[in-house]
Amino acid sequence: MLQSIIHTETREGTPIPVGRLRLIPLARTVRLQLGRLPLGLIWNRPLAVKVCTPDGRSQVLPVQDVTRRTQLMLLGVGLIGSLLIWLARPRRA
Amino acid sequence: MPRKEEPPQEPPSASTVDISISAPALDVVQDTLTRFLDTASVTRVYGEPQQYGDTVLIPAAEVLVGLGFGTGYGFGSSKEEQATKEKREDGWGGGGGGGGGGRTLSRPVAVIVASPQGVHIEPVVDTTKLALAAITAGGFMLATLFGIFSPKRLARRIAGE
Repeated sequence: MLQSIIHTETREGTPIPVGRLRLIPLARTVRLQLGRLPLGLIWNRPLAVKVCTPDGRSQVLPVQDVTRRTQLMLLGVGLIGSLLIWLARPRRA
Repeated sequence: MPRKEEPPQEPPSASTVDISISAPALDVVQDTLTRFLDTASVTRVYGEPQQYGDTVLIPAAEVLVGLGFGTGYGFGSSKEEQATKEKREDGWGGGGGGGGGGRTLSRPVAVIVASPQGVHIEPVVDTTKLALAAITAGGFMLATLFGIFSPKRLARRIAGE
């Protein structure tokens, strides 16, 4: 059910030659389609960059979303902090 | 010459009326859908490589696209006609319409720096978003503190003791 609504796929872009290296950008696409309803959502985000050397070796460098991560961490701290304050409130004997 | 009376016509129904969308409107919908599906491409996430001397910079962004369409039509007759049960052509009518909307959000995530020294990824930090998140988190905690130590509650507690 959920798989028919949410489609996730990883796509490779056109290799970009940089000197002797070849960079292959990778992107993750999340597509949300609610059945036959004429509405949809596409969320595209950079996933990693594959660095290919002339001798055939390759290295994958992940693209990290620092803003999103810090944002979620701050909101988590806010929620957990509020919960802890509420639990540690002085109660009547 | 006596006027020949025409037999009453059957009212139009959804199956008999041509409700096809005109060609330009269809083109617009088709074009919009094509563009929408086109956003699921890697080229939308990674920008054009920019060369600065020996260094190549490739911007990377997060792209979020939402789209929705809707159409509708209806048919009906006038109140007089419904009362007399006469079926006349001029007493019936119908109409249809459609609409749609969409939104695209894009946010820079990182820049890929490729130089002779190697390839590394520099994150793009949006300080405004982080400041807003910090204010929201602080607001949560302050609201909880005020809820516990509000003057009214404290007064009630003291009175209770």
